[in-house]
Amino acid sequence: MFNYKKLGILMLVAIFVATFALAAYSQKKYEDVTVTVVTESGYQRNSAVMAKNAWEEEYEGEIEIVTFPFGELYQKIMTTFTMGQAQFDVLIFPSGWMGDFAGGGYLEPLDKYLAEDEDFNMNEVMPIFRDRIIKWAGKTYSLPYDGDLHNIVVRTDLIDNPEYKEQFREEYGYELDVPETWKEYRDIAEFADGWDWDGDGEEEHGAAEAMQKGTQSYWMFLSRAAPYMAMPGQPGFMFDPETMEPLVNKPGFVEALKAYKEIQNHGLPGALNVNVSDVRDAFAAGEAALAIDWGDTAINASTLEGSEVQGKYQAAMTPGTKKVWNRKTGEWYEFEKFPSVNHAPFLAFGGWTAGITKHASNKEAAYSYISLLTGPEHSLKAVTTAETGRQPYRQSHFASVDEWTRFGFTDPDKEYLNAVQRSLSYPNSRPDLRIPGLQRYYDALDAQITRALTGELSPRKALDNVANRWEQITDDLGRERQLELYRQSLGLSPKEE
Amino acid sequence: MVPRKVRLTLTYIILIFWSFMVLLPIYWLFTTSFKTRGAVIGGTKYLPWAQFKPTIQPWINIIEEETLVLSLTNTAVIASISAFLALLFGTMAAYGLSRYKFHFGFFQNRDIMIWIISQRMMPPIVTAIALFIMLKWFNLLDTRIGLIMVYVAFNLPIAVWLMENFFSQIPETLEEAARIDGASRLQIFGRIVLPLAMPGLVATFFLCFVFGWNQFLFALTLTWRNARTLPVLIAAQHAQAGPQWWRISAMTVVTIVPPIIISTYVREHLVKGVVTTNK
Amino acid sequence: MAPAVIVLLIFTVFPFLFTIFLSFSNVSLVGGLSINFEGIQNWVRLLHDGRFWNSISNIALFVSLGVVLEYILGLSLAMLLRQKIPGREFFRILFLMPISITPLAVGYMFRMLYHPSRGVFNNILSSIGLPTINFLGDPDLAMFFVIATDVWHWTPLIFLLLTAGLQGIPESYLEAAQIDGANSWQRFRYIIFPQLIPTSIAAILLRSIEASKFMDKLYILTGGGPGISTETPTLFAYLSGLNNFDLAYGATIAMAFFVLVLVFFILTFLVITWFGLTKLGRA
Repeated sequence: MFNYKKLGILMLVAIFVATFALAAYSQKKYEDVTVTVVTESGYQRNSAVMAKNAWEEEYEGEIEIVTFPFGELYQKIMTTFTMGQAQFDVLIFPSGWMGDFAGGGYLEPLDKYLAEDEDFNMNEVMPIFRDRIIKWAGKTYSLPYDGDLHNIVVRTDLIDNPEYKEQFREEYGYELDVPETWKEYRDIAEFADGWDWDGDGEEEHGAAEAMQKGTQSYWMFLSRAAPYMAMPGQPGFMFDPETMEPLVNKPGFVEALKAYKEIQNHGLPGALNVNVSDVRDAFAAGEAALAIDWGDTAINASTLEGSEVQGKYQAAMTPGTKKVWNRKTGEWYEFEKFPSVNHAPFLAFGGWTAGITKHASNKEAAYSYISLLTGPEHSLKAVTTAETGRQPYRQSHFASVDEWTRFGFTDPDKEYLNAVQRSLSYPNSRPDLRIPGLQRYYDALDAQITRALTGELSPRKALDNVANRWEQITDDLGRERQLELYRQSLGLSPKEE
Repeated sequence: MVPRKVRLTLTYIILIFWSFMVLLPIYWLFTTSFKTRGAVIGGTKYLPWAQFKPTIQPWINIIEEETLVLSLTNTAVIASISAFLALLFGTMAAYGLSRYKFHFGFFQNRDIMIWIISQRMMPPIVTAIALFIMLKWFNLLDTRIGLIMVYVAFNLPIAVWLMENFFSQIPETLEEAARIDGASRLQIFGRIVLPLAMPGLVATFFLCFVFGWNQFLFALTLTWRNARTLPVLIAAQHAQAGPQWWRISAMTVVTIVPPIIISTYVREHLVKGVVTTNK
Repeated sequence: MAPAVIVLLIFTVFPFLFTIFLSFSNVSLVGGLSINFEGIQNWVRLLHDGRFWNSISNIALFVSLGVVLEYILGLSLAMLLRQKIPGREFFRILFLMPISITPLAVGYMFRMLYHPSRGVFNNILSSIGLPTINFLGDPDLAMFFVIATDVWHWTPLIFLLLTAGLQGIPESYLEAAQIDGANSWQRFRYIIFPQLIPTSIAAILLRSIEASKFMDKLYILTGGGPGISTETPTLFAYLSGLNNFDLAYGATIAMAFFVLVLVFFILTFLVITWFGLTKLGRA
């Protein structure tokens, strides 16, 4: 006998479930919501605007983008925080400020939103971002937005030329190839400097590197210093995580500063006044054999209209060293057989990242914006668009070779992606410093490096000055607290008394 | 002696050269605001239509932006209210100083005057940091009221100085005559002095307005969004990498047009004021 | 008068005294604002801070060279437009235009013109076969091009003041001189210029005071760079105090700078009155 009663109940249940499912799956709208997004006024703004248009179409709310020049951004955000007023909902900020922002308790933890965000696909985000950069003290405070790191580019029409290989072997006694160590890098720079090896009628230069003060050039120095200092298994390389003693005047740093200074002789003319955008221009114009930079040099070289080096270069992980300073023993540790070279790719700057403030007026709407901004689909578009300043950080970014070819690359893997991917997944890669007062520490470093580069001070003396200043800053900000936050930033447990 | 014709030609060459120098930056700003990204990045393009195709896209973009509308309103409100208050307080002080004798110990009219004017000598940065902390105490950071009060103090010395000069040109005999006719102090001030000082008032108001409109350091320090003024907004478009010059230019044109128009309009008054204050 | 005095007391005198206090304090913003008296540490640090003295020498160069150039140009233009020639009024209005332009906007205009590869100036230089110049990127040159910007902006003010001064010279003097056979140089040298001295001094002083506060255009043009080669005390104090949040040290820089400015202008004032060059009593 057919039971109509049961059927009725069943139908009711079905309708109920269907409504729920529909409600859950139908797009939530934020018609009367305005989300205020704060970021820097150059590339990051472009990127925020791209996502704004997409978000407004999808959610029917409004995004207001407030920008500050990079030099003002930190101060303005901190001012609104210390005012204790809700001013901004979404922040797109350098991950180095995580210590000040998340450590200061101004950001909203995102774990619970992420748990419900099925499309975000966090699993495919490169581990160093997924597990470290976006986290603070075990919680997620931002979404991965930008895979910033340094790599080098080298001209293949130089290193693959059999005739030059021959010459190079005669002079230096080994094979001319992509440099594996900073010494090889230096040799190639010297070899390539001052003659016309690409037949364009103009003399080429060796290595294009940013050295101008106040233009982010100290990161070039840090990238160089990392392998001299980053002993595998010893976390952190700028401070001792036991005592907060600066390591910046240890022999590894001194050695790196000497090498950085020496490369002037094989660099662009007037090397001391070269900044990152000069490096990008010079490499794209075919004036240099080597360059070190964030991804932009590679991107410009391949995608810029009028680039002279399309298809004529390849990217590689930053070189390593044959020896590393072991701070535990106070001695150099020499690498001999396997591994024969110590690499320590440095995640200079650590990339931009997107978070929500604790006081955001509508956190769900704010989250939906950053989720769209950093989610698989939109971020792929952004990383393969010029002047967004974003670099790949998801597996799918690396896999979508077609998008990169459309963007202008001849051989995306060789010219860019492999180097980035290798660096990001390298076991001994090192995140940038992320403690409060970051800018003060780096300003001091910047000022003294310049004095060493101009020859006013010896590298040793300059770095001693930095170490003294860093000690002062640490004392100013409170040593105990700095040490604790430094350890947190490295993912270490709090120090036991 | 150099022949007159040669001299005249030379004069015109110099004058035209300087005119060119004056106009070039303004022309460049104006045309850039009608350029596309390609026209800015693709080299030095001087002539619209001939070298690049003008577009009104940058203008459409900035007009759609709420932040620009907000900043424009902020700037207009803050500059005019602060100019009005500076004028009001400045006029009162200046009239007092020009008509009555004050003694605070050895401190007399002339000393008070010098003291007020000397405030103008002090670089704004000297007070900016302290004002930042003070406004934080009163919860007035990033508010129009906070900025207005600071601007009033910033403009007062100029207002007092100019108005004192205008008042001292008004013959006191007129006021005495009115007093004999039985007019009260307020009547004398309202019916006789104010109308005569009107050109000076107008000039001073607009001068303070322009100073307030263009003020940067205080606005930069004390605001970030709600009370952000135009100079700070355009400064905020500045970027190390990839500045959007077409957009910046359009915003900058919006910023400079009002003070240019106002200044040209009140120039006559200003010249009069300056001539008399420098004798 | 009371309201004016009260406003000045609250928003100028008190902040001024407060700044003095701050310069002897330790200010922290971590976990809320706290101000603690500390002693002379900030001042000791300042005296040994090469960056401060660098900013002082920068502003000294900026003010002296800038104001001199502005004066020479302003005077020349005023003299040229003293002649009753067709188009005189037009030129006057045109020449005065820069004065009212927002300083920050001037910064942007010149930054575009100075652009190393797309800027107008380098475009002109290379089209007539001259080498291009890295206007704002060369530490040895940047200050001079920053000064050039200021000259563009403020020459008109000197021009305005001197034009007014010229109008105050009685025609009868000049006619008398002409009858005596003085040529135009002699008339300038012995009649016009002496008569212009008070106006000139007032104009130069006014400009020097304003120029010493220089920061707005710089903020856009170079931000104090390359390195610190164009950094002025105002910018340095701003960057230290309000950008790095080292509020106490920023206050110290500002105060030390003000003391130097004050000393300089008092000395100038004494020299001027000593020579009896002008009666600054009223102004």
